[in-house]
Amino acid sequence: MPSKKKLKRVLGITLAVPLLLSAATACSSSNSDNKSSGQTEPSASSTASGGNKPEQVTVSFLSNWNGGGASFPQDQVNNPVAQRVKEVTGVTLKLESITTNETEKLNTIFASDTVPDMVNAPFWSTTGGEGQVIKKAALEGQLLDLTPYLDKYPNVKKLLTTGVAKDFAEFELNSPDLQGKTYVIPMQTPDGTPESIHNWNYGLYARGDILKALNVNPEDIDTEDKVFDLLVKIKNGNFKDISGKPVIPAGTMHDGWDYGRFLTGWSDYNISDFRQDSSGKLTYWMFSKDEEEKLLYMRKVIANGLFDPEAFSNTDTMATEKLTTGKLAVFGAQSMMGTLQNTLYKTNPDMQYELLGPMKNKSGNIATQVEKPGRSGFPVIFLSAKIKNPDAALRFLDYINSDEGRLLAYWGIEGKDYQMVNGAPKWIPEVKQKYDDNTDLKRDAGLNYLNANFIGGFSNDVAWPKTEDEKTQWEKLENSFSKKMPIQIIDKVSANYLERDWPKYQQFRDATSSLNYGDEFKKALFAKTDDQALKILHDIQDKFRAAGADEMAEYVAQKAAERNDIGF
Amino acid sequence: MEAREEVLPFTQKTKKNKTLSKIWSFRYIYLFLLPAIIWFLVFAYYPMYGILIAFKDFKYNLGILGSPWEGFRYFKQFLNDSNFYNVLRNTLSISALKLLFGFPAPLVLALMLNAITKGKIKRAFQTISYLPHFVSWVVVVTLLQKILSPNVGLVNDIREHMGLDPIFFMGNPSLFYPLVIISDIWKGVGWGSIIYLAALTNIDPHLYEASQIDGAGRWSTLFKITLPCLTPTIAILLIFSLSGILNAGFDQIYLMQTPATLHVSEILDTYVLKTGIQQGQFAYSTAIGLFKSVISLLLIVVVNKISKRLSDTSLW
Repeated sequence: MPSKKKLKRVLGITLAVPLLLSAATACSSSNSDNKSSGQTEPSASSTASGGNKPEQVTVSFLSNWNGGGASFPQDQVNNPVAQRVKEVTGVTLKLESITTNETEKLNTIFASDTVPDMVNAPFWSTTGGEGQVIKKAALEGQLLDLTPYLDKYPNVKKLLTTGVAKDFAEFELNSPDLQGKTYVIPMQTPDGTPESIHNWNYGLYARGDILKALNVNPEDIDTEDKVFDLLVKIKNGNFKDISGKPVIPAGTMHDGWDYGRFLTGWSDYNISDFRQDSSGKLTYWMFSKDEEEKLLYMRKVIANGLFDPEAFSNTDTMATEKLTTGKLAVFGAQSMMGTLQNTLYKTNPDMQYELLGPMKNKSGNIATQVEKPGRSGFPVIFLSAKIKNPDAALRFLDYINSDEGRLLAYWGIEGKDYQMVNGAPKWIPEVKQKYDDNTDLKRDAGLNYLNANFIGGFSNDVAWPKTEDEKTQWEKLENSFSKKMPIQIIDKVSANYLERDWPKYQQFRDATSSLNYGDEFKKALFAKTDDQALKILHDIQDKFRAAGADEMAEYVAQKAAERNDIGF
Repeated sequence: MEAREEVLPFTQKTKKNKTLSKIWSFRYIYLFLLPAIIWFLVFAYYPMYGILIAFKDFKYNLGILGSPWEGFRYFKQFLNDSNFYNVLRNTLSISALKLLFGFPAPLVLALMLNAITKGKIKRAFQTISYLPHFVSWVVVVTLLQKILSPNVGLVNDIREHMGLDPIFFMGNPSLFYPLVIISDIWKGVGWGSIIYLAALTNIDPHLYEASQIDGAGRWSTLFKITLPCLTPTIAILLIFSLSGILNAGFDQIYLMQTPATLHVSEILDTYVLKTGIQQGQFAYSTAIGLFKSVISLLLIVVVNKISKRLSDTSLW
C-alpha cells in the first residue's frame, strides 16, 4: 500500500506541475524574447568604441496594410540596407505586417494596448475607416504627440506639409479637435509637383491572348455595354487558364477590390460625397439614380455568369492564385504588375494583360484618378505613446527622408548596387540585370521596404528620371498605362469639409455609424430578383435619409454658395 | 442566544477543520484541479470586469474603470438597431437547426458504434469519427470552399461534365443552413459521441442479460433499456445545448459568410465582431455580448428547472 500511495503521489505531481506551469506561462508575456517597444539595447560596439556610434535601438514596426509585408526582405536585420541604417542611425527595425482588415487591426492594437513603436496605416479621412480610429486613439492618448520633437528632425517636419492637399491639411491633419498637436506623419506624398503624384493605374485589364483570339482592340472597349459584350464573347469562347481549366470572364483581387472599375461609366471627376445635378441641386452621393443603374448592371453581369461570384469573399491568396494562373480573363484593379511580372508573365508571356479603354465616365471623359494639387489621404506613420525611445524612431525617419537616406532606400549601397554618374545614381549593369530578372532578389537586398513604408514628399521618378533604356519592359508597360489615364487635378476644397459645421453633424454620424452601405450594396447584388435588390438599396438609402443626409446636403449647398473654392 | 452564539463558531470551526482535512487527504486530486481553477480565474473570471464597458463610453486613456458611465444606452441602441431582429432570427434559426439535427447525431453514432462487436473495427470507426473535431474551422471551411467553388471546385467540375451549370454553393442563401448543419455534424459528431459511449459502458450488463433471457429483440432492448439508462446523460447535455442556443458557432459562420448570404448568416457573435473590432464600437458590441450572456443564463436556469421537474435530472 505505501508504495502504491507513493506512486500515486509521484504521478500526481508529475502530471499536475507541468499543467500548472503551462497555465502560468499562458498568462505571462514573453518578455524574455521581446526587445521591442523601442527599448534601448546595450550595444557591444558602442561600449567598445566608447559610445561614438549612435545608440543601438530596436524599434518595432507594423505595416498596417493587408499584404503590406510584400516589400519586407526575408532577412530583416542582416540585409545590406538594414545594416547601413543601423550603422548610421543605430536603429534596427523589427518588421511586422498583416493579412487582414486594416481597421480591425488598428482597433485591436488600441483596445488591447499593444501598439507597436511605429505604425504605418491608411489615413484617408478622420470621419471614417482607419483615419477615424487613428484620430480617436490620438485624442485618447494612445499616440505620441510629435510636436515637441519636430524642430529636431527637419526632414520629418517637412513631410507634414509637402505634397499634402491644402484642405486635407487644414481639416484632417490639423483638425481643431487635435488642439494644435501633431500625431501623424504623411507618407507616399508627392514632392509638391503635379508630375510627382503617383498614378495607381486603376482600370480594367484583359488577357492579351484572349483579345487577340477574339480580334478585339482593347482601346475600343470603353463603355459598360462594350465590356458586357466582350465578357459574353469570352464566356462563349471556351478560353482556358494555364492549367487548361475554363477562365472566369471577369473578377477582382481580394474582397472584391476593385469591382468599382466595372462601374466607372457612372463616375465623374468628384472630390466629395456630394453630387450636383444639371439644375444645380446638391444630393448626397448614395441617393443618386446612378446607384440603381450601377446595381442593375452589376447584377446583370453576375446573373449571366460573367463575374466571379467568389470575388467578394476571395482572400488575397485565392485572388492571387486566380490572377497568376490566368484564370481571370478580365480583372478590375491596379495593373498588378509586381505580382504578374514574376509569375504569369514569365510562364505564359502571351497572356500579358492589356488595359481596356480607358473607360469613359458619365461625362464621356476618361475615367481616371482624380487628385488635388497635393494628396488627400495617404498612408501615415504614427508612434505609440508608450514608445521608450521616440528619438530613435524619428532619427531613423529623418535619415531615410534625407538625400542620403533616399539614395539608400531606392538604390542600395554605392559601389555595390549603383554608382553616381554626373550627380545621378546609375545601377551597376550586372546588378540591374539580376534585379530585373528576379525582383525578389531586389526585395531581399532591402531595396523595397524603406521606400514603400517610410518615405514621403518625394518621387523617385522625378528625382531620378530614367531613360527609356534604363526602364524594364514592365516599367515601360506601366508607364504606357499611366499615359493613357493621365491624372485629373482639381484645385478646390472638398465640399465634405463643410458638412462638419452642420449643427446636427454628430447626430448624423451617430445614427449612421453602424450602417454599411457597401455591404448592403453587395448583398443587393446577390438578391433573388431585381425588385428585391432595389428594395435592399432603397432600405439602406432610407436609413441615411432618416438620419438627415438630405438636410446635410442642403446645408452644404448653402455654405458652398458662400465661397468660390468649393469642389464637389 | 448567547450560548448559541458560542456554539456556532465552534461548529463552524469543526466543519472547517473537517473540510480542510478532507481536502488534505485528497490533496493530489485537488492538485489536478488547480490548473483548471487557475485557468477559469484568469481567463473567465478576471476578464469578467470587462463587461462594465457595456455601460460606459469607453475611452482608451481612461480604461474600463475610468471611462464615464452611459447606463443602458447601448442596450437600448441594440434593441432599436435595424439589424436586431434579423441577427436574432438568424442566431435562433441556426441554433435551433443545429439542435434539431446536430443534437441527436452523436447519440445515434454512439448507439451504432456500441452495436459493433469487433473491437478493431469499432476502434477504427471511433478514430475516424473523432478526427474532424481536431481540424480547425479555418481548414474545414477552406476545404468546403475548394470543393464547392464554382470555378475550381470538384462538385462543380462533376456537374460540368454532366452538362449542368455550376452552382455557387457558398453564395446561395437557401443552401447556407444545410451546409452549416452538415459541416457542423461532420465535425462534431464523433467527439460528441464520446460522452454517450462512456454512459453506455456504465449500463449494468445484467439488464441486457435479463432482457435476452426474456427474449427481447434489438429494438426493444434499445428502447426499454439503453435509452432509459441514457436519459440522465441526454437530459444534462440537452440543458447545456439549450442554454447555448444563442451560440450559433462564431468561427464556422464567420468563415462561411459571403456578401450573398449575409442576410441569413449574420448572427449575434459575428455582429459583435463587426461592430466591436471592425467598427471600434467596443461598448456597443460588449452590450450585445452581455445581452446574449444574460439570455443564456436565464435559459439555463429555466431549462434546468424544467428538467428537474420532468426527469429528476438537473445540473444543480
